[in-house]
Formats: sequence, C-alpha cells, structure tokens
Amino acid sequence: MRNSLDNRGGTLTEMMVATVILSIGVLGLFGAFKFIARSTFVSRATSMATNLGQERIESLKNLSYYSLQITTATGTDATVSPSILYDTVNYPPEYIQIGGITFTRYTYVGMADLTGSDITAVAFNYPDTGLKQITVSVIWTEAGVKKKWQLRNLLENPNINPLDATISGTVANSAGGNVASAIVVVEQNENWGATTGATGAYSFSVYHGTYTVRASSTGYSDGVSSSFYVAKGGTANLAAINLTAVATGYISGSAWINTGLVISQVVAATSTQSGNGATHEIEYVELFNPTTFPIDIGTTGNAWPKPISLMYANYNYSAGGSYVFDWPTAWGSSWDMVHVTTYVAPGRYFLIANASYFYINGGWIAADAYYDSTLSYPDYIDNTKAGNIALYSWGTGTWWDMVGWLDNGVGHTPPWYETTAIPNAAGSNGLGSPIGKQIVRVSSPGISASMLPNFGRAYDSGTNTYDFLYDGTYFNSFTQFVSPKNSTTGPYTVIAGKVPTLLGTTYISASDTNSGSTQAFTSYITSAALSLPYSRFQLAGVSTGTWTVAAAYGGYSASYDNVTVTQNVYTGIPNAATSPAWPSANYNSVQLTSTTSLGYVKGVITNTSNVAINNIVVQGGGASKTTGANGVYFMPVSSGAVTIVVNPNNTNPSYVQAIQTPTITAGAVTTQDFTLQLGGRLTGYVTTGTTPLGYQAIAVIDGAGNQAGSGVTDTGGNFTVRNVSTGTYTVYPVLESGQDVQPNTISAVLTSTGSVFVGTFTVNGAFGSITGTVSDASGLVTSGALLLASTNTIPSSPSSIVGSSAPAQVPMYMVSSKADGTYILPVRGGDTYYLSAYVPVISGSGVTVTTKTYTNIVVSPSVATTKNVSIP
Amino acid sequence: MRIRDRRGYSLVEVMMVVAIIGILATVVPTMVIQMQNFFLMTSARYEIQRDARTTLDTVNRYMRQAVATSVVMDTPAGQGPFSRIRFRHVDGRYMEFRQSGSNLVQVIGTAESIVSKNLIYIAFTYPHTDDTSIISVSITMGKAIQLGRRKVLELTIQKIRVMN
Repeated sequence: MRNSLDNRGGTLTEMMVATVILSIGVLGLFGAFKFIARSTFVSRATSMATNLGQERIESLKNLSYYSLQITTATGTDATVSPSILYDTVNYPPEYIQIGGITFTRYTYVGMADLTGSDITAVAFNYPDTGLKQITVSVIWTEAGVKKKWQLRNLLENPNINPLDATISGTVANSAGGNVASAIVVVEQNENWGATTGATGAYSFSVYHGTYTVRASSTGYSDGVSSSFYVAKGGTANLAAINLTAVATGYISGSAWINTGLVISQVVAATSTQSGNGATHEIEYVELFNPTTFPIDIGTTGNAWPKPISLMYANYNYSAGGSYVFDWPTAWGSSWDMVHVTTYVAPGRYFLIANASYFYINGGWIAADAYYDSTLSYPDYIDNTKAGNIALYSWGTGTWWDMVGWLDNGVGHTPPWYETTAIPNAAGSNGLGSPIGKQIVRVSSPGISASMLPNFGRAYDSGTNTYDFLYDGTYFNSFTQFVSPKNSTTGPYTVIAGKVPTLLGTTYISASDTNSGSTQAFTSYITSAALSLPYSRFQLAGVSTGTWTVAAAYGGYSASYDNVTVTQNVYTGIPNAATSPAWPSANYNSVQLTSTTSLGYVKGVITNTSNVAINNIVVQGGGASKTTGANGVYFMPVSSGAVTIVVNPNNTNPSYVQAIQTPTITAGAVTTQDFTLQLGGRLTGYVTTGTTPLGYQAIAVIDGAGNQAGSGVTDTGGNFTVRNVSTGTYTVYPVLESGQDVQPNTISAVLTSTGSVFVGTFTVNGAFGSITGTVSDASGLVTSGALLLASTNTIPSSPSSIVGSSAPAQVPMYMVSSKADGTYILPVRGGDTYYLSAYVPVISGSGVTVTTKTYTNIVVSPSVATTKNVSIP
Repeated sequence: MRIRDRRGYSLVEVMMVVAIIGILATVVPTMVIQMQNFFLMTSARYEIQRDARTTLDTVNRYMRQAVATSVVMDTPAGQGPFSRIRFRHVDGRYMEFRQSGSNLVQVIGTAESIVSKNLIYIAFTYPHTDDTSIISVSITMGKAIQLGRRKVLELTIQKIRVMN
C-alpha cells in the first residue's frame, strides 16, 4: 500500500474516557436489577396476600351462621388509606411471615342488609338480617409503602325465611293529605316495615302470610289496616290508612325575672311628726324584695365588704354644675346606718328613713334602717335638685336598680336613671309627700291605683317613667297617697318584675310530643297614653292532655307541672290548677326567680313500632323520672354532656336499656327521644358434662322457623339471648360437625316478665387444641412437617383417607407446621390423644420421612395444650 | 511518502497496563461470583414463586370443584405423608395431584404433567377427618443454588372449601 493510513493507537486518555463511559453503562445495568427484583416482589407479595385473605374467608365461611361472630369490638389501622376497621376480640389480627414479608391479616364480620339489589353494611346491633359480611384485609410493607388487599364475602342464614311478597299503600290524614315520614310496620313482625315518602306512599318486602300493618306519625294517632293475605310472589296494595291528627291547644302567659331588690318608693321631703313628737322634714326610701329568697342587706356599722350599696347622687347646679354624691356617704365607704332589720324577706318591703319612727298618712311607722344617729334628721335627699337613688349588689356585682328624677324646672338631668328620668314639674315643691308628688313603683303595667296596696310593687321595664307613679303623667286620675311599708307587713304577692324579653331571649317548652319550643316576645299594655312593655308567650300545637311546662331565661328558669291543655283553647300558666299555682287569681305570671345551671331534657320513649311506652324510668344528670301517658319524659338536668339512661338495668324487663348522651344547654330545652328494643331474655347454661363450655353459639327460632335471636356462652358456660319478643321459642346450640348435644333443643315460653332460664345443654366434642414447635436434628423445621392426632393409635404409615367414609370413622386431626416451625392443631376437647409428627426430606426422586409419636396428650375444650415435637 | 511516528508503548506504559490488569483480575472474579449469585437467587426466587403461585392457583381451582365424597388422600410409597390427593371433578374428570421427589405431578384424566420441579413439601389434609368440606393444602417450594448452597423456601398453607 502506498498511501498508508494513520495507524496510531488510541491514547491512554482516550482509553480511560472510553472505560469510564462503559462503567457508567454497566453500573446502570446493575441498577436495573433492583427494579426487576422489586417487580418480582410486588407480584409475589400481592399473590401471597390474596392467598392469605382467601384462606381466612374459607375457614370463616366453614363456620355456621350463628358461630360466625359479629364484630363488636373494633380497632382501626390508619396506616393505610382508607383506614381499616378490624375485630380485636373474636378474630384478632394475625401477623404472618412468609418469604421475608410480614403480612398483617385483619378480619371484620359485619351484619349486612339487602336493600334492593345492593348489599349495605349495618350496625352490629341492627336486627338480625340473616346476612353477615366477612371482610378480610391483608396489609404489608413494600418498598417502604403500606399496601392493602381486601376481600369480602357473605354468609347467609339458611333459617331466615325469604322475603317473597310485597306490601304497598299510602298513609293519609283525615283532610285527605299525604302523611310523609310515617312509620309503617307489620304488627306480626316489627322487623318488616318502611317509612312513607313525600307522597305518603310506602312499599316493603315480607314473607308471605296474613298480616295487619300499623302506621304512626308524630302529631297523629296510630292507624291500623284491616287484616289481609299476601301470597308468595304477590303484592298487597292496601287502601290508604287514614291518620287522625292529635288535638292541640295553646299555652300562654307572661314572663318576669325577679333576681334582686328594687327601689319601690322615694319621698324626698315631707313635714311630719317624728318619734319625739316634734315636726321635722322626714325623707325615706322604700325597697322591695320580689324574689323567693331572703336578701342580706347588712348590719349596723357593718364594715367592708357589705352586701349592698345604696347611693344618692344629685346634680349640684349651685356648686358649678357637677354631680355630687351626697348620701349617706360616698361610694365605697361604709353605710352609716342603724339597722333594725338585717334581711329583706321575700315579698316584703324595707324602709330606710332619716328618722327611726314617724307619722305618715294617718299612722305611725318604724324604719327598718335609719340614718339619724344624733336626732338631727339629716336632709340628704334634695327635693329640688335632679337626683337619683341607685342600688348596687356587691354579692352579684350588678346594679339592681336605679331611679332618677329631674330638677325643679331648671332642666338638669340626674347623674343616673333608667332610660327616661322622672319629670319634676316646674312651680311645684319638687318631690315630696303630697299626693302625686311621690315616686312609687307600680305592681304591674296598667294597674289601677286601688290595687297598689295589694301586690308587691316590682314592675321594671327599664324605663323610670313607665315604672313609677309620679306627678302629672301616667295616672292622671291617681289621687291616692301610697303609704310607705316596712318589713312588718306582707308578704305581698308578686305579679310582675323585670321584663325578660327586653334583656334577652326567654324559651318556653311543654313536655308533650307535638309542640316545639317557643320564644317569649315583647307585648304592650296601653295605659294613660303610655305603651308599657311586658313579655308574653304563646305556645301553639300543644297536644291535649296534662303536661309540664318550663320557661328559661339565661340562668333563670321556672317549671310548672300539671298544665292541662284542651283543644283549641288558650291555657294561661300558671293557673289555679298548676303546681305551683298562679300568684294571684287570673295572673298568668311566670316568675323566673331561681338561678340555675340546669337545663331541661324532654323526649318520647317508643318501641320499635313507634308506639309510646309508659312507666319507663329515665335517669340522668342527677334526675330521675318515669314516663307518663304517651311515653313522654321531661326533667331538669345538669348542663353539659349528660348521659341519659332509659330503662336502666332492664327495670322493665320487656325492654332493653338505652343510653344517649345529649349536650344540655343551661336554661334551654333539649329533645332526646329513645326507641327501646323489645327486651325479653332467654338464659341458659352449656356444659361439656364436667366443665362449663365457653364460646358456644346458641340460636333461638320462633314457631314459624324464623330466627328470633342468638347468643354465645361466656367462659362460665352461661348464655343470654336478649331482645326476644314474648312467645314460644325453640332454643338450641349450633353445633359444628362432630359435636352432639343433649337435649337437641329446648322449648321456651317467654312471657312479658322478661327473663326465662331455658335449661342446660350438654355438648360433646367442642374443640381445644394442641400447639407447639417442631424441631429435628438441625433445629426448627421450617419447610413443613405434618402433625396428626387421633384418639386411636396411629399406624407408623397412616392409611389413606377417603372422603366418602371418613366422616363415619374415628376422626383424625391433621395440620402442617408453619414456616416459623410452630403448629396449632385444633382437636375436640375432653379426650386423650396420640400425636404423630412426620418430617419429610427430599432425597433423590423420593422422600425420606422421619417420624415420632407421642401419647397421652389430654386436651380440654377451649384450652390449648402445649406439646413441643422433637425428632428424633 | 512520509514516514510517521511509529514508536510503540514505552516500558512504563506497558507496566501500568499490566498493573491495572492485575488489579482487575483480582476484583472481577469476586464481582462475577456475586453477580451470578444474585442472578441465581433472583431467578430461583422468581421461579419458585411462579411455581408456588401457579401450583396453588391450579390446586385451588380444581379442588374447589371436587366432589367431596370422591376425595382420597394418601401417602404413595417413598413419598411424603399425605402428599397425594385424588378426586373427581364435578364435571366428571378424574384428577390427581401428587409428589414425586421434588416434582409436583398433576393428572387430569390420563394426562400427566409436572406443575413444578421445586417441591420440598406438600401435604393434603382434612383439618379433622369428620368434616370433608375443607381441605388444607400446605406447600413448600425451594431451589438449591450451587454457589453458596442456599435454598429459598416458600411455605404456604391454604384452606380450600370443597363446593360439591
């Protein structure tokens, strides 16, 4: 070749670069192995999870319907989404290790119901539907992520009759309208029923037969159809069931709050004789206690803190137009008075004057407290200046009352007053004792002057000019001098007080089922061109009958028993028949005087057919009541979350106990209805002959072969089947194959008395188990060993097992040991067993088996006996 | 014509190459062995998992359809205890699964086939022989790996409900 090419080799650098590139490629390939391995792992783990789930379902489905226990105690695994609910007691979680993966297997058995063609889960305390749903979830961790595999299956009760017929119809009221949300049930089997829709129509499935149906709805009396037959596969179209509306009436009245003293009269000046016979200018202030409890007003010279401050202030225009606190001493210092009386009794007055004893309006009167210590008759209250009296309660930290009046025509306003200060007409002598010059609180809005002496004067609308008699307005015809009263007369009936609706909301509620709760509203009485406010209430739709009515305002409440309501009539409360009765004839005046942190709870106790149950005890929040007619209860309870127990401890054995925990608001009425399940009980005992047998399923069927209940024995062998209606039943233990029982069944008659002991069953063949580990010369056997137990001797090479004849022979129990070298072999209790273990090892085209046999293994029912197998 | 530089590698360069080859020679066999081990492990695992899965699926599918009264479980001579099950499928076909050393043999009618060659343990049992509606199948699959002489084991126990 003439023209040779460039024959130089690659440089070292080029080589190294090439090597690096190659290395990256090779390393990338290694990385790929990881993903290949992972994909293998994924499909392996998923298929193992499926196997584990299927295995659990198969073994559970092998149980009888009754032996498959419904999950009542649950745990939650929230490490996967959505979280898994599982059984913690009957079928607790299992942790299974296979091929280096730990699987967690959860089981949940729920009651299921067939609605249309859909299967829905229902709560465990739902009436037995004859369908149980098994859910098995298997979770494991895969590349740090939790994975889940879930399987579901159903187990049906062969004893449940198929619902093979249909009942349909409508529910109407007497006016021809539809009644929606009415409950319609078959009277012969209350598990069959439906609720009417908006058109009043219902339709539901039943087992064919002859029935009557009952319709019930709030506000109506129950209606029952005539008896009819519905054939298999047929539909009974019933005539409309007409419901008659429950008769209702009204409850009405007025509501008042009385929580402390009020200033009931002020006289700033009157010229009269005092106790020593001389004439002086006497002034006085009269207080009134409209509450139901005595009020501490302090003692002579009592030091700080004192219960109450009474203050006088005026507008001192002669001193430059400033407010002056003038009497008896300044705010905050001691109340320098001589107390004759230290408490104001309920319904009584308390008279404070500048003389201990004086003559007024034709008679002598003694002050309950006086500020004349030196016979100087001090003139504190200025009858020509704008002034006020205010009453502060240190105990409650509130101003109880104040009354202010204007000056004598100059136009100044007093320091304090409620809404409008009382006029003090120009040209007169100001506030004083002559007729019409007093300031006197009235006993109720619109009262006539002649009634003033008869009632406690406590009306307080929060406007001074509405609440007091005074010169010139309000009562133009008022020509009567109102004598002051001291603590020696009375008590006086209170028919009014503060108007609650001007301050907040007042609730009124009756204990019937039909009416709700109403709020009081502000109404007015017109008198002398004034519109005088008061709180009125009117509760409509109260069922006719006798009820309890409660009124509540904030922390104050009142309750009246024995309120009788007649149809379409307004019943005023309180009245002569209620307890407590009205304060005075024809005054339907509700007094909210007692401070309470209590609330009220009311409701109806019905059975599953929505029929009210009488004489059921309701307890909770420190109260206890018994339902009256119509199944209604109504009681005051402590506020907050209150546990209400109905029919505690099956007091009425025909029904079960029910518990709810409503939240009660102080002063308000909370409605909490209850539906009680029929609560007849069948009890009994199951034994193996020598020891009690626990965990034995018991079934109860009625005369028609329908399942009426089921139960499981406790570890003491006792069972209780609850919620069984009265009637005659067949009770029997549900046996697994190989078990027998003596007697087979027991017939039980359940009357309304509740609990019936049906008898004792003796069950043979209940299971216990043999458990332990299997090990050979090289340690625990992890590749599988066969364990075989029998009450007979086991031949060294066991003969074949033939499916057609095996059930009739002495049973053998077999299991393979698990990957962790342990085994659990369930065998019947109450026997002594031989146990053989076989460990096969592959050798060439055959298998070498080493074996060992143990004898005299005693197994009791429900007990695990440990036997560790060691070969040879 | 021009004569180009045709010098060979220097002694130093050659020595460096030899040294590098020497180092590689010590490392590569270890890596290869590990790679092979990994490969064998993975493939063995994959194989027996596939086998276990296929076997269980097959056994499950057929035994579920078995007629309970036709089931016979026994111990063929020289094989593991109760490592054979024979039954009639609900469609009338005769069926059999049995262990033959490390082979799991399936017979349908008269046709024999080997489902898996990695069998270590198989047992067909009734949990208790008076209830023939449930058959428990326990299978362990394993494979020997030459280097490292390890076996991968899979033990699966499954209860199968006989539906007929």
